[in-house]
Amino acid sequence: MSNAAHSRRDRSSARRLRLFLAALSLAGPILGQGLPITYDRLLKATQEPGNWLTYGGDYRSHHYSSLNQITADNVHRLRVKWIYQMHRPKVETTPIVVDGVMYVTRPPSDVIALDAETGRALWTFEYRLSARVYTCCGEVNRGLAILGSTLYLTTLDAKLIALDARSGRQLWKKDIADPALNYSATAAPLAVKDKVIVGIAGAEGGIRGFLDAYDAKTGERAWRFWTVPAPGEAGSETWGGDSWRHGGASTWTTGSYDPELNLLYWGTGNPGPDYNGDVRPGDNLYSCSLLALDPDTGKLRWYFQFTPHDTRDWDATQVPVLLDSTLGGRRRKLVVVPSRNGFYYVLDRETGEFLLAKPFVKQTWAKEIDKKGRPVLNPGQEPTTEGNDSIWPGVDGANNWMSPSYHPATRLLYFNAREERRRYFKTDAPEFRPGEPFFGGGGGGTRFRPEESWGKLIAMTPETGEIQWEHRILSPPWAGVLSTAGNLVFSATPSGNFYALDARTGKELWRFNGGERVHASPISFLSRGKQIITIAIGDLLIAFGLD
Amino acid sequence: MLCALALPAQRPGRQPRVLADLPETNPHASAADLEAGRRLYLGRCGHCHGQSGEGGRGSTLDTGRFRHGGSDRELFLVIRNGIPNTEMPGAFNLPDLEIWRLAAWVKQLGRQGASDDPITGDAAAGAVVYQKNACAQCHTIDGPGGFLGPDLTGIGGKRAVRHLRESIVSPHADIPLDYRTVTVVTAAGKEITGIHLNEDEYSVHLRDLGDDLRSFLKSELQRIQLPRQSVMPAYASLSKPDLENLVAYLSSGDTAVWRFDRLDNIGGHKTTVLGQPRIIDSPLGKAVEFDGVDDALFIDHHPLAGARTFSWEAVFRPDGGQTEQRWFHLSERDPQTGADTDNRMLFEIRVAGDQWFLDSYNQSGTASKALMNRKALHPLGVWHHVASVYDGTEFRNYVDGVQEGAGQLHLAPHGAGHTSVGVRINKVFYFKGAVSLARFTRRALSPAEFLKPPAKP
Repeated sequence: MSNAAHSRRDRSSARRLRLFLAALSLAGPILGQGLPITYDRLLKATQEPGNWLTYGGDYRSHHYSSLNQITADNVHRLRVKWIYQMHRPKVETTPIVVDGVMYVTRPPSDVIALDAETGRALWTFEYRLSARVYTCCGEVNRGLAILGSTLYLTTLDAKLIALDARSGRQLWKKDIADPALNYSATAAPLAVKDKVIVGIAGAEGGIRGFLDAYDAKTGERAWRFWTVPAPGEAGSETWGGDSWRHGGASTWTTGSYDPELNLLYWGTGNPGPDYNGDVRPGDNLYSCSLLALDPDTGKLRWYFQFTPHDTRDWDATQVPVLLDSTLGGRRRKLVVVPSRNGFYYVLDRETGEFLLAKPFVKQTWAKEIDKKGRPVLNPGQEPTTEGNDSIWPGVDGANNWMSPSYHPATRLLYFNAREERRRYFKTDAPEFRPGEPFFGGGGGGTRFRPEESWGKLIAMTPETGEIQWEHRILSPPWAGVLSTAGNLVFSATPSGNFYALDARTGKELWRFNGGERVHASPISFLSRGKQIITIAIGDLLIAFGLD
Repeated sequence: MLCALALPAQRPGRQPRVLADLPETNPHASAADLEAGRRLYLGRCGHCHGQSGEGGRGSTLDTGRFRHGGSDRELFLVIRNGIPNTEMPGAFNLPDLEIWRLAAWVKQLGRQGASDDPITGDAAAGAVVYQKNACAQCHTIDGPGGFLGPDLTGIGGKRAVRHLRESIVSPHADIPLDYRTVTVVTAAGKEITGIHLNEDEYSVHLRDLGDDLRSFLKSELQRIQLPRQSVMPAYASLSKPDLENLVAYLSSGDTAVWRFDRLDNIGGHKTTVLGQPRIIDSPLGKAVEFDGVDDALFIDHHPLAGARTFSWEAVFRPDGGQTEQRWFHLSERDPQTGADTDNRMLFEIRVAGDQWFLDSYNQSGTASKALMNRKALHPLGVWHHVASVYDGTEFRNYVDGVQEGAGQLHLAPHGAGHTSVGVRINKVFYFKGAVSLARFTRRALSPAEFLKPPAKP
């Protein structure tokens, strides 16, 4: 057969196939028609409440939905719509949703596109880890970024992978760092302009932390900001000896972005070794800090360190929430953080100026936060060789990575807080070894009374740190919060109870027993015009809708 | 980062390690390793096992006896993997180096010798105290008993003597996590107390004082209290001897091993020597050899007193001699007169030419049973393993791991008493041969759990 004949036949079958597919499409809506997601659409994510386009819901990380079909009045009719089974422990994913397609990650580093209406998989990208990876806290992944028609995934073995959102095909894969040196990646990337911002994990394994930006098209690295300065660089004087080499300060939770100021806000983790600070005398910059970086260049504009010379594993990898408000009679651009160290902080996000700190849980380690934002320490609050069980909050912190939520109508900040006393102990400073932990001590391991280990969802006036109401839960939570225009706040408990509260009063209006610990944040979107709420409970992703 | 070294359930961990890929000898046991191990131990282990290994909520580590094995490898595995169904967590997150150093230090603690808290009571008398105070209403040992309190089978291996003493006198001082008390008050004002089984934001579940499982919705309750008191009453009024005897009984654990490697003391008990039994070397280690004329050892202890179920094993070598030989005799004594009662447990043999067969006997009160299979003949002059097993309803005997007889029997536990080896308790039917080992376990073992029988000739 001639080439020409071959080609004619190809064209003719392609036409037949197109006609056939067009006929099929009449049978059901075409999914994912909303692609591509341009940078402009990411900037205006709040104008597309039917979708969920970034990890934090928008660049300000408000984790809020303006959908109002599900309301305080009808939430009692909320029912399970479908369940997607992951069969993997510790599902921490926050999905991305685009026009009826939900992109979720599954531990350790898989991606699944689901039909948001039925919960059925459209495609699955199964990633095989290239190497055994040391992780402190589970083989987790928290989600994806989308830009154009491309999804961005970080893998447990510290790769950045670009996937075609329509097919799940891999477009490219780049090394972020060497997993053999205990680097791993668990955070959802953040797409900004033409770049993908990528955090790293591994401070429990003795890494030196950084934040990276990659060209969204090619995957070439655009810049790297080392969160632990090398000798001679600014801040290096805060590290004794060679300790900077394994100084930690990872960047394992997705940050926020202010397009007007063109500043990226990203939290950093604990210094290493976690519990033995003797080998790293000094403040250990930029561990336990909030960084404000230029997303084009990676240059540091300002930083604020919450816990200088941390010895209690109090990462500052909480999601920074960006708000504009009036404070002291002056209009301010704010960034607010309920910190793992037990204090709620308000900073000016233009300058990094410290404005306010207030405890939101019982804390024993600081007398106060001084006028410059530095803690004034109480004595006897360090880990000891025999173990010190007098310290509040615990090693898992008063808050952690799970998303807070800001509601523009109630003007309240909602977040989960952990009231906890723990036993902290210190061991010899470890030597760095590939594949092994780098703790220098630990926490936990004794019996505490129920009143020494509990949790609460807080509704706070963000400008003042004043708590308006609290919703008490039995044990310290690991779930994020979603608030909605339906005057609702959704969150979940370690017992597996997913619940809805009246956003103004905190009155509980609805609940569902999912039967397993929740390590995830709820989101909301539309499917076929109807509002859906989803959350991962245990290893199940569950979608709820009105009956 | 997040939840570093938090609850075991949250910890992902690595796969449990197995023996095969580990060195037999601790590769990190230098003086510097020991010191590093000591410092690791203080923070990680000391709050349960005592800062000097004296024990507490966790087992005593300074006696050199380790229930789950005291070899370097075994210590490594226990520290790394934890012990299922106990509060001992695995140190999954620790690097091997640190686990080896901990193992080295724990072994060193074992060499230091037991701290100054000896067991002074008598276990058999303690069994009576246990019975008199109706402890079994709430506790189980080897099966029978109530469920309100923790299972006490083998509790002596899990807790230090001082911790047991404290738990009897002031049970609220340290309540196991699974046995915390909860009191609920219903809308009607009824108060119900029990063991806290589960709770979430909306419901609470408990085992009430009658052992019944109860479920309550919080919305239907006036209040829920979590008192700091245990539901167990404090036995502060026990006399000192009763307390010490009870502690001895609970500490006795479910296994005792007697090695016949000396004459003056067997299994930690003083002996009376008759005739001139002698220590010999055997392929199984040292043993005591008896001449079949007037050699015997009397041991002032009945190792299975108080046992409701048991496995009694011995490794011995019969060397011929008179037909009927009673070579291992456990006898109850009348507590008033000190005379032997009829309650007894016996290993006997009959010699038939150059062979022998086993006779196992058990008696308590009017119940008794002899198991003897004349056709199951075994060669003289070689080492054999024999076992008597009682599971509460059936009595079985075994030679070299093979069952020879079985019979139904309802056997009440013996009281305290003493033991003779090499002769019947009344000094007749002397034994010609040697005994190297005996093990007493307070439960019915399967043959797979037996001591390894000596190799066939």
